[in-house]
Amino acid sequence: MFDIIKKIWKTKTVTKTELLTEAPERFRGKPIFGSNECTGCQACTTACPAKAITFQQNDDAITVSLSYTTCIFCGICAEVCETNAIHITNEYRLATKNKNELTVNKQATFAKLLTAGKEV
Amino acid sequence: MEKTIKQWLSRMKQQLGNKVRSMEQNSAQETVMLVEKTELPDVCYFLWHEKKGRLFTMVGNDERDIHGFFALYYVFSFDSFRHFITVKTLIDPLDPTFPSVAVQLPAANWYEREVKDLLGLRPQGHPDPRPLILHGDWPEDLHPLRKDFPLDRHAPRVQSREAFMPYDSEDVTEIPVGPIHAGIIEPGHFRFGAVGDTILHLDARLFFTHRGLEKASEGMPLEKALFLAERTCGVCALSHSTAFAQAVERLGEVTIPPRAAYLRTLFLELERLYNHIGDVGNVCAGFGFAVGVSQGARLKETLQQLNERVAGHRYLRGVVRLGGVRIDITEREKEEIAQTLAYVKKEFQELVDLLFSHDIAMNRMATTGVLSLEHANQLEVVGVAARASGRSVDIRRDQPYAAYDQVSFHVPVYEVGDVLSRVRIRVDEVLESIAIIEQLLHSLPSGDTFTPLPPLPPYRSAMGWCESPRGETVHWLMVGPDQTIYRYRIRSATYSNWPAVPLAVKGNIVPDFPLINKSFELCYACCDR
Repeated sequence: MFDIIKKIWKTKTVTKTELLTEAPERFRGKPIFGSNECTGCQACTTACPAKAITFQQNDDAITVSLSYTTCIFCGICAEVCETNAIHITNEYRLATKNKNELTVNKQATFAKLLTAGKEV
Repeated sequence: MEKTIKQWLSRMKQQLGNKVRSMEQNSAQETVMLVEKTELPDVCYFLWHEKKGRLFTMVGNDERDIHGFFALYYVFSFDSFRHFITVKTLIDPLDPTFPSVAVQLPAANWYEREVKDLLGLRPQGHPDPRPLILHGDWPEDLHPLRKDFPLDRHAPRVQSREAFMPYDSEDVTEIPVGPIHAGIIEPGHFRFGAVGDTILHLDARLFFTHRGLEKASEGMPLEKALFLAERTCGVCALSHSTAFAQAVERLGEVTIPPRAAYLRTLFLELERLYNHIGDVGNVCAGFGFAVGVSQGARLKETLQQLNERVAGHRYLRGVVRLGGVRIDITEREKEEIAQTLAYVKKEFQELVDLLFSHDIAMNRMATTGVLSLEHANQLEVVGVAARASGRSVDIRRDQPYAAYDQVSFHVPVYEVGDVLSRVRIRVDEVLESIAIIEQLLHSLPSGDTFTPLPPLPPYRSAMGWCESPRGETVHWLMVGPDQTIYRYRIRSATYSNWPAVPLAVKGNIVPDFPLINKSFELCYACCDR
């Protein structure tokens, strides 16, 4: 009995003594579009298991959009992207009051599309 | 060794005589015997009873578009030879029946009921005709694993055929529990037949979380199937992904680089650690020892945070890729693992001392829920439950994979088979795992972390196996001509162990059931698939 009380006293309340500050560096959180060029190769849209990345082709542009409402943070999109246009951050605070903020878009570059042999 | 295996195989062929139609090598470790279906029970019983093979897995496959037949594969493992023998039989679609092996070999019971539900192949003379995977309200003539059953087909609900053990005596009280439980656990329906407080019989109705993963994987590219395999279960995610990747690598005859093998072993042991420590804590909930529960949970949390820092995921998802690993570790992370484990080891020892010196705890655990060695052997129980009952099986030692042949470790075995033995096995294995990780960190080789895969041969089978925290998990795989999955069968440790739980519960009092159930710590998701 005495041992048990001693153990409780020694441990204290861990939620108070071990506060969560930042997510670890390697933690797979929010994927974002970086400044690198997107070639519109669709590798990410086909690889995404949750179908969170969609691809839209208009007359003169290709838009890739990523929805955080369906993303499961597996990191496969960043792994398959050849130009590193999409990469994973360790950001985990995604709560928002406006649902529209949970979708981000990226325009695929026209010049790259031509060199990749895709028809626009 | 190779010569002895050849001699042993040819002697076996002589003994079986004309019962075996042909015998061929499928891989260096696996021999396939083709038998007529009428000879199936005799050959299987011979391999199991005379030759002491363990029934490793059993797979039914719809191969009508390859050669016009259904096929059944009974895989036996011979640990002393590190070899597998698969008994294969072909079944004519015009007569979809076969003589049941389960009559003589109780471990085949579930497998054959599964084949009946999912493929419509009826085992004749089977001791239990009730449905298993698909519940009684699924139409009897719809078999989802047949290739002509479309993935998106919606099955109508019919009048339920579910049946439980009927009791004639008025002294027997039937107590239904579940499928929805008070705690946050998975669904399972338990129906006790109790006389007073003592359990006479337990019917466990599982497969509420059957998601048809095997059907869903058909036609899937391998990368996506790996992702699916990883999601079979939450707490053995890494074991499942490793087993699947090994099956693919074995099919492609690829050897992964040593660094990748070491890293897989390292992460697998981290998975075992957080599971075992969490389970030792959870067992305390079975008798209301709150300090044990919270200390266990706290240490599990420490380990999961370590997983997150090292692998990016608390449950170690996304570690494995086909042909190697996705995640490499640096010197700093090696240091971090060593430090955390030293802390966890010390704290865990304190928890164990508290638990084992607590009279009430010991009183509740000892002699409760005894699983006899005889039952464990007959049902081919694996993992912690097997080792606690004196059945020494550990696939890490018996058929080494990843880098388990490079490290030395001891496999603890206890004889009694009660709750206390199962807890003791976990405690011992925690210390062994920490020792294994220390060895791995010390001798981690440098180099690549993955090898590219060649195109895989179509319609050939391969297996991958892994000792998950609950016992051995086997993935059986066949790839089609377009490099997609043709048939994928997951046999998890819990699938082998669930049939043993009702036997261990018998004769105990009803309030001890949660404790016994927790000591087995079986997950439902990877059993139900």
